[in-house]
Amino acid sequence: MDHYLYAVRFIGALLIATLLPLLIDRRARR
Amino acid sequence: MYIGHVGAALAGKRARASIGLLVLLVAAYAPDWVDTGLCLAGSYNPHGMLSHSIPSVFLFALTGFAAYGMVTRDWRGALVVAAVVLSHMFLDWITGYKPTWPGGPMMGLRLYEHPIADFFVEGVTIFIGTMLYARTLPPRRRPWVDVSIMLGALLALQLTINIAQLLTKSLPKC
Repeated sequence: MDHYLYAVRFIGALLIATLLPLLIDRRARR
Repeated sequence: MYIGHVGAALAGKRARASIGLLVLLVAAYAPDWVDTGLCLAGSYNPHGMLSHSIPSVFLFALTGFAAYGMVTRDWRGALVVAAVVLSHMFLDWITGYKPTWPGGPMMGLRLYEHPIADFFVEGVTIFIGTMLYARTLPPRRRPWVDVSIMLGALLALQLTINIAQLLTKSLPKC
């Protein structure tokens, strides 16, 4: 069970590192 | 390396502005996405032999090169995508401790064990990447605002991770 929790946390961190620059980039190119 | 990989993706944008930033970000984190998949599948290796070793990363770079080149027919862009995938390995050698090849030695400066030094190195990588990326933005009356938001958000994210490292010495990936 633990490794699913770790995976969810890891996916969350990767998604934040991916989506945050994307959102800022979209704003900058508006 | 954590958020420093975003710096490599941003530098890739400067090298070939026509490549979507999402493609470059996925390329920059490709070995970590593979690790996540292995974790979910229950076959995660803490040393990252299947995700971070030299042959694995070269395979991902080749896959990225072929996929991007075949879809877009932009082979110069495909080279940039492959270079961004490869950057993951080189950047991780600065901050982490990664496998080279099966049976080969582990390699890396292990800056993760020194969060302040890690923040400094990742911060420099983020700064260089953001400055290169800034040149791809359309002309604005106050262009430094967008650049400052990008730089500030990435540094804040990196700082959060480094503080978490200081508070909890062990943060297992899987």
